Amino acid sequence: MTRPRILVTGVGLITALGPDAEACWSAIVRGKCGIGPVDLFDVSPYVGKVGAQIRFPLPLPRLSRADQRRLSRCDLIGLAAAEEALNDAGNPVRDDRFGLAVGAGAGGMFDAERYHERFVKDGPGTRAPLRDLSSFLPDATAEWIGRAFGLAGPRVTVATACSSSATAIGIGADWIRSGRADRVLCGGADALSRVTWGGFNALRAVDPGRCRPFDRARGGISLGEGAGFLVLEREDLVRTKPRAVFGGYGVTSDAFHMTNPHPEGASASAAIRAALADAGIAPGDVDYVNAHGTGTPANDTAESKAIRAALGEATRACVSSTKSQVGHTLGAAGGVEAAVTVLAVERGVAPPNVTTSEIDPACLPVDVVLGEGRPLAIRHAVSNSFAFGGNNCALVFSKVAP
Amino acid sequence: MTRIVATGAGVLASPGVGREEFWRGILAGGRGPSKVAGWTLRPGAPELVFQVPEFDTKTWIAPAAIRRLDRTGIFAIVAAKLALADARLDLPLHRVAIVVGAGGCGVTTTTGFHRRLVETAGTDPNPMAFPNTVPNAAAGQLAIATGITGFNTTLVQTGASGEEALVLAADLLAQGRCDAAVAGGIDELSSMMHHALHRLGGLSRTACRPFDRAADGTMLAEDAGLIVLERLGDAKKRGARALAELAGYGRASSPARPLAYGPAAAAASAIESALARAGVAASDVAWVNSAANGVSDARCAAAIRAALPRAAVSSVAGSCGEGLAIGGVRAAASVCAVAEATIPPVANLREPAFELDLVREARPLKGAVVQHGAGTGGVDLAIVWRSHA
Repeated sequence: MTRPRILVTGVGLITALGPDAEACWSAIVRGKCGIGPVDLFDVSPYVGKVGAQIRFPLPLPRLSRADQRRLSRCDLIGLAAAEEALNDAGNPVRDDRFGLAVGAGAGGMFDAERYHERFVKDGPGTRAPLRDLSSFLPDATAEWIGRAFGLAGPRVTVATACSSSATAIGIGADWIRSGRADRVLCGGADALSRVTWGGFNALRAVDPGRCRPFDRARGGISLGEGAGFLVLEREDLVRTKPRAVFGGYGVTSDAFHMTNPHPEGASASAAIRAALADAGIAPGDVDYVNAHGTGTPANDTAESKAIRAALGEATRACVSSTKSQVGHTLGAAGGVEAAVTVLAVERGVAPPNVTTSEIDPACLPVDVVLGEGRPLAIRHAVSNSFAFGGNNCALVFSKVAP
Repeated sequence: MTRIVATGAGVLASPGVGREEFWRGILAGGRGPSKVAGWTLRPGAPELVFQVPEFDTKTWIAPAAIRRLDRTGIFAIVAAKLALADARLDLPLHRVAIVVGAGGCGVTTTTGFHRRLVETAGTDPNPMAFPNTVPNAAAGQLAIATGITGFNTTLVQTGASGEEALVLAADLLAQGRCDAAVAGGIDELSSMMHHALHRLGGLSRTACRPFDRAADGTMLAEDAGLIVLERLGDAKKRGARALAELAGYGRASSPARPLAYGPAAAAASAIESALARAGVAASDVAWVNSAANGVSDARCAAAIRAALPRAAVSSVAGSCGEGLAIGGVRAAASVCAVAEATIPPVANLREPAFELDLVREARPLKGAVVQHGAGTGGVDLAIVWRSHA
């Protein structure tokens, strides 16, 4: 059975760098950094005081006023990127053949925290408004997107922390391959929250300044928020100019530790190899890797080893981490970084690592892009997403033949 | 089309621990709910929930490992080890997938973590607790405990989370992304979920009585139901016993709000699409393993009347309660029903509220099973199970 080719026809992106894909991309290639002061909640007790907070007003989606009152910050962020992706794809027919696969992280936590704080202070008899809990379950963002845009095909929410949205994109693509859907809106959204802020600080995994992926002096992550969505379509149905080819994906588990990656990156490397095999692409033909690149000492060393093991010691692929510009957007990271990877492939520019000054020798000889975007003819690109629980997901995107 | 079979099941639910004890418990109508300990409840809130009977965690997990686990992690590991032993699975660990449907997994740990943030104004967050706040902690802990390095993911689809995991596992097997999958659902009891559902008016104070005139809400449960799925050819090759075949599935998505169900017609359409994909005629369906939970009864009944008016109907909610990922336990009941050729009864059914062939006492199963999972937010899933022979 021949598998249908899948094209990326729509991209939607919202991060601290801007409200849409063009604004984000233009800031990315110019080497801007969206990591700065955070005032969404009180960060003064913590070592980490900077993050990539979205500081412009979030647009209100086309839902009734009653629905709008129930939306969490994460829902608003997700709905914005979902709408952009659908518009970018030329708004193809939305019916029961249009799937929706969404990755979630903290989701509606920021809003639920407001309720729970009242619960803790007032006791269980609290009269705090229930609407702050309406998006507490991780699938809420997907349900709102389905409702707002009338997507009636297969629907799922992946909740594997920082690899959620990358896995959602893979699962969505499989629906097209197996004939369960013709088109899929896939990606993910996430918002900053007190729980994740306190949690990563408690783990001492946060850089006091801006995160510096692959830098010798890197000290941890910088948290961020955002959303990234793609529209994938079966090739024979595509009516617009595609941005890239979706090649394949791979998912594995470290089965090693809840928060630390396996130091040799063995399963991460297996995920990249599985994605390349799924796409039918030789490791030597990969020109760009959008790394998970969190900026923690453990991740970046292990990931460099995983990349070299999967692509070969002689690989000439350029590597960068978008987290140096938009922070670690947790449940959204896979979608945000897939969107950036698609634009990099389409436009022939490898995005930079903007905060890194001296590359850690332990991460060499991976070719890390510094400063600004580097013009590069990208035939094939890999986007990595790894997560708590030892989850690894790699996606492969390729240039559309001219 | 790739044929998929269930070769093992691991269950922790109120009626019993392990496939056989669980099934005996289901046939006997379950052990009933019990008072929850250690929660400060809102005045007037129900105290009854479905809890898993005590079991010796040390049989499955080394004491040193237990302190890193919360209850969902323990449930995942015990259920998976029961399922893997039941299937006598001995495959390369990188070819085994783990697909967990998580209802409210991690909510207890998350609210505990946040409570301490609130009480200490952020000055003393608990680093030990944070890793278990993510919904995929159970699946991660399960991988660590078993060494399974294959495809690993966690899905959330409120009340259909368990079914969502099973159908993804079936897809992964059909795509060749794994050679076996441990898939199903895991639910924990959390005071926050209980509090929220009580405030939304969804909980009964007395009993969970699906399809009964006196049904006045549901009751929350903790549970885990994990099924080992394999391609039929592979199972035969290794001489494994197939308990049941997952013959097909269907789904429907409607534009419902989070926490609201879609229309009954969507549930009927999911069932019809599952039958079409499985190549099973409505007249060959002997039992509907319904999602009715004491809240969604009218909707579930309407869907069955539309799609399978002549099938016998019961719901495990009367003996197991409702967890958002109870679909894993529901699947265990489907698999047991096929393997034992028996339809289990609805517990607590006194006065049927619907014109359906509701099962009051266990009876022989002669035909296929349709399992329905209903998520709020508008997702319905139906799975067709039958004997593989």
